[in-house]
Amino acid sequence: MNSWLTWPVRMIGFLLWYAKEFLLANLQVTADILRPSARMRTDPAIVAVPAASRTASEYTLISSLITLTPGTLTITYSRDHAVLYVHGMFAASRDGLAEEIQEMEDRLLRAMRREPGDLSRPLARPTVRPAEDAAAGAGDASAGTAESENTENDAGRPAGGDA
Amino acid sequence: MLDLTNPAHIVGAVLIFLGLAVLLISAIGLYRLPDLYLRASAVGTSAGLGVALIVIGALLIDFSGPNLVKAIIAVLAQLLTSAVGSMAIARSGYLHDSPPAAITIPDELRETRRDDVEV
Repeated sequence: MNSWLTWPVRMIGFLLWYAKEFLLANLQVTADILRPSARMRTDPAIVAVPAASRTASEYTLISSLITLTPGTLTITYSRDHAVLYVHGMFAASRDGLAEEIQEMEDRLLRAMRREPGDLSRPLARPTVRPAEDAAAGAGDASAGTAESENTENDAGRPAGGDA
Repeated sequence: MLDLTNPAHIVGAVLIFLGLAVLLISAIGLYRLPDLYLRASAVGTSAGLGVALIVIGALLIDFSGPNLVKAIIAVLAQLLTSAVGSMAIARSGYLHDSPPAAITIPDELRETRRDDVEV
């Protein structure tokens, strides 16, 4: 019951936080466009961010909010692999961008869900491989240490390329 | 009419000019940035902040209850459609092989592609 009563407060809190992020991101992009080419800080990347969203409406909301923030753009997502593919304009480090996206998702889910549930997910790139590779070498952990856990999670599902 | 002795009108005019500046700068961004995805990010500033500032400025200059409702609907509809539109453009661009600029490192979406499949 209690979580229903706090819902409006949590949503307003999230909207205020988002408005602040939105204004800062606008300033950052606007300032960068006006810099001379040699000093432009544009350093784009397309990052696969492990997501904690579950339902279609959660994915729709978080993708729209990411895209609405200037400088970040959701290109696509995969519910099967729980991954958001995000293009970032200022991605000095891959993990830095992924952390920013996950922080926004954490805040959104805590605000909109009755119970936030388990929001833990890895930061590293999940192992998502084209369908025929996955069929040939399912469970093959050639991609690295942090990713073995994901390989297991995906093993039972029909894997497919997300592009 | 614009009445420069009315503080709300002055704030409204300032907001409209700020909005115009944002629109102009994002147009410069369209010209200066190297690829589709970065340009979509630049246009995001004008579609979100630029239009919202102009609508709020116009509301302050001609304030009334019905106009307030119209302004809120206009800003919300603008934000929703601009987000969905940007995603549709970026996704169709990617599926039609519009490559991200070479400085896009890493590109973790590229790595999931099946190259024998026409995308």
